[in-house]
Amino acid sequence: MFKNPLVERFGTGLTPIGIIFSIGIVMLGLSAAILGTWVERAGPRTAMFTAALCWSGGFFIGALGVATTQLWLVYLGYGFLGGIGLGIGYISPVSTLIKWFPDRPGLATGLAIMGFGGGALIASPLSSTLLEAYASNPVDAIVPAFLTLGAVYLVAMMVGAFVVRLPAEGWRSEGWTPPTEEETGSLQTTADVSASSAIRTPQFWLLWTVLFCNVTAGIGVLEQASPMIQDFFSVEAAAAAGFVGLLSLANMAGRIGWSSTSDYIGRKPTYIMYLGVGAVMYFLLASFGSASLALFLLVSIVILSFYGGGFATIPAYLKDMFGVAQVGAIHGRLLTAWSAAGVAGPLIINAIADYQTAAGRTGADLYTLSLFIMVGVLIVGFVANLLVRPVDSRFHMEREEGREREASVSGRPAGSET
Amino acid sequence: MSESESRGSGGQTSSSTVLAVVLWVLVLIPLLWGVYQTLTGVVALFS
Repeated sequence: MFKNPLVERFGTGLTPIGIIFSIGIVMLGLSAAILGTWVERAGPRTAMFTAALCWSGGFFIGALGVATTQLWLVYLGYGFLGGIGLGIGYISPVSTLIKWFPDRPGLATGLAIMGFGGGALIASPLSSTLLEAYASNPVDAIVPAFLTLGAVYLVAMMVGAFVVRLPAEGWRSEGWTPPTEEETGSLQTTADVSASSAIRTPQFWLLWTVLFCNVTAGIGVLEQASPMIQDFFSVEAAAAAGFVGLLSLANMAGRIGWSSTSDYIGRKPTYIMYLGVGAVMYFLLASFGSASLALFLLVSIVILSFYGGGFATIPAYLKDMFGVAQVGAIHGRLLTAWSAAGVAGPLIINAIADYQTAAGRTGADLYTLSLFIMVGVLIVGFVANLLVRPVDSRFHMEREEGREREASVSGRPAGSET
Repeated sequence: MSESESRGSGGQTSSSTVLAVVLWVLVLIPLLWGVYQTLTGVVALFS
C-alpha cells in the first residue's frame, strides 16, 4: 500500500524503498534469534510490551522520516525498530499458547501464527482506507496514516500484553494426561533441549532448510501474484488485486487449518505434504497454469495454504523435536530462515523475471523458469524433511545438567570428552 | 513484569470467561472486516 506513495514522496526508485521492507524482514529474523532466549526468560507480557513499543515506535519514527524527507529515518523506524518489534511480537505468543494447549500444539501454533496472517488482512484495507481518507493524494496521507497505524497498534498490542498469562506450572487440559515415551511417536520427545544445544543438532538445520525452502517457494508466487495472473489471463488490475486478496485468505486459512491437522497426522507427514504436493502444484502451474483460470486459481490457493501452513506448523514441529522448555527461543533462531528466504526469494524471482523479459519472452513464458526452479527448491526441502530423525538424547537438558553436575564433582569442564 | 507475575493459575472463573469473550470480539470484529474487504476485492476476479 505504501510502496508507490513512498517512491513518489522520496523521488526515488522501487529499490531504495524496497530496502525498508528488507531491513524489516532481516531484523525480524535477527531479533527473534538473538532475543528469543530473553523472551523465554522475561515472559510473554514483558516481551509483548517491548514489541508494542518497538513496532508502534517504528511507525512514529517512520512518520518523522517521511515528514522531513529523511529516508534513513524510515529505514531506522519502520525497518530497523519495527522489524525488532515484529520479531519479538511474532515469537512471544507461540510458546505461551503451546503451554496452554499441551495436547494440541499444532492448533496452538496455528492460532498464534494465524494472527500474523490475519493482521495482514486487516492492515492492507485499513492502510488503503487511511490513505484515501486523509488526503486526495496518497503521498500527503502517508504521515497521518503512519501516526494513526502506530497509535492503533500501540493500543491493540498493549491490551494483548496486559491480559496475556502463562499457565501455572504443570497445568494441563481437563481430562488429558501427558503421553508416555512409548505412547508418543518416535519424533515426539518427552525431554527438553536448550536453545544453545538445539542449534548444534542436525535436526535444527534440517528444519531450517525445510522452512527456508517452503518460504522461498511461497514468495515465488506471492511476489509475482498480481503481474502473473495479468500475464497469464490478461485480467484487469482490480481482478489481479482480488487474486492477491484470495491468496491472503488461503495463506491465513492454511495456518490454522493445516497446523491443526498436523496434530492428527503428525508433523513430518504434514511437511511431506507441504513440500511434496507443493512441488507437484508448482509443476502443474508451470506446465498447465495458463490453460485454465480455474486450475490456476485452485493450484495457487493450495500453494499459498501450504505456505501459511509451513509457517504455523514449524513451532509445533520444534516442540516435538526439542520439547517445550525453550521452544520460543529455538523458534526465534529458526526464523533466520524466513529472513534469508525473504531476502533471497524476491532477488531470485526478480532477477529471473528481468532475464526472461530481456530474452524477449512474454505472457506465461515469463514465469515458467522461476516456477520450475521453485519445484527444485521444494524437492530440496522435501529431502531435508525426510532426513529428520529424533534428537540424540545427549542433547537433552536433563542429561546436560547431569554432565554439569558430574563435571563439578570431577572438576572437569562440562562437555569435555575423555 | 517477570514471568512469575504474568503466570495465571490456569483455573477458569466467570470473570476470565467474560474477558475471553470480550477479547475474542475485539479480535474478530476487525478480522471479519478485513476478510469482508478482501472478499469484496476477490469478487472483481470473478465478475
